[in-house]
Amino acid sequence: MALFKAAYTIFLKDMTVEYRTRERLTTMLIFSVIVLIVFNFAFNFGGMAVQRIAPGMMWTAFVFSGMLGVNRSFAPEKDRGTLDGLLLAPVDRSAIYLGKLFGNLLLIGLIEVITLPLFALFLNLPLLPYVDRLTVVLGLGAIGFAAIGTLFAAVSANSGMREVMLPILLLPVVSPVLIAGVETTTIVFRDGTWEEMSRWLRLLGAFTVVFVVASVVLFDHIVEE
Amino acid sequence: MASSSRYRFSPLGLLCLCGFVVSLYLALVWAPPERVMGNIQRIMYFHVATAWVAELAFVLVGLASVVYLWRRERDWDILAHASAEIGFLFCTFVMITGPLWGKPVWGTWWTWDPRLTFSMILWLIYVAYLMLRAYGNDMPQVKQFLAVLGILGTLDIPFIHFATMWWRGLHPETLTMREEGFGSGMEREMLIALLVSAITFTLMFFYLMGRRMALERMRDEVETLRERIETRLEG
Repeated sequence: MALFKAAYTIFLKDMTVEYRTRERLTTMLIFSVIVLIVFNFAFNFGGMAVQRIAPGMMWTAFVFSGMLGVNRSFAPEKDRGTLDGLLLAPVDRSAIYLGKLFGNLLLIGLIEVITLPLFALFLNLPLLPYVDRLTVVLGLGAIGFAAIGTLFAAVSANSGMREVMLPILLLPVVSPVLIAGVETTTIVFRDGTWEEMSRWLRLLGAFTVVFVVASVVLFDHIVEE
Repeated sequence: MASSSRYRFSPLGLLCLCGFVVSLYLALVWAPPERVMGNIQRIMYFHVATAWVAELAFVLVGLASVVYLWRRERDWDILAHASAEIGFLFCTFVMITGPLWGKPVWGTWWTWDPRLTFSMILWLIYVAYLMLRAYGNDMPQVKQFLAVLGILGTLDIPFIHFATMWWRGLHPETLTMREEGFGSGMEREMLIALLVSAITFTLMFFYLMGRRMALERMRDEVETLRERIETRLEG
């Protein structure tokens, strides 16, 4: 319990900073809207079956804007030298990881909640009938993505070429999440059943469990000097 | 100094050489041509053998990484490093021989079939690992980072496997691993040629590993010697 209390404290600290600056949320939001617009130009899908393209667009927008947000979860701490302070705190280091993970999850979740209606609006896509299934898919996907993203953000924050390193490390490893996410969302948009989605959801669920646990265990090795 | 022995032809190296002569004969001459694909099919003996080594190397990176984080001995890091580099080499070979076969048989260089996609993602994780190695010198804890990446990458293999498999399928059914038993779908000669080739490539992998690890140890030696000279010059 002490672990989660410490994680919550770190989460609150991060969110207070975010509330005052709003720099991560704003950049992520603008970026996902830009992705939406770029896709619109790139594919120019007037009259094409939008249901087939929408899942890929949504996931691309979430993954790329998520990467922006995740990247900023450790980089500023490193720049200001406050990471050392955090590491000196008399708490289990997993708490730092979990706190950062919760923060990243909240931001990605917010982006999804704000961007989805925009997708619905711009792509002329009805979302309301699918809300329940979309919530599960996007939620699981976000956790899987953020679990590894948070860990690799701690790695790339220590690298001289940080912004460049994160996507190269992160994208291949989270590719199963991306594949499963797009596939499941496609099933959702053709009004598929839970039955059809179940094996993908199990894959996402297993991925989430394995990588959250692995990251909690391995985080200690990442931050030690 | 035992260094002179490093330059001799090792028994393993000689064995590899003989293995390659035999494998080439078995694969190109002895094994019968495939009924439909003809001689093109013969690239399979090398393609499948290298694919096996690429995956073996990847698992070895993961295992060595676990032991490194646990024991913190430089040797395990060297093992992971060597295995990643050579695994990358074999993975690249797989990515080259695949399309060479695919063009005449499937009529296309590349298709997003599960196995191709799987190899591509594996290859990209190797690239990420080696890039972190190459550009991570400014980071004090780069060895721990690499070990973590190696472990996560290995844990990822089953997920990539299932994700790409459910995604779509076109690759020929693997004839060696069918339900009716190992190798039941293949001519006996073909199976033997494949096995000999796989063993040879595995031997070559271990031979290269030995050379690569020796090289890395020599680098360490040079580094310590240089440091010693520097301190002596300053002092």
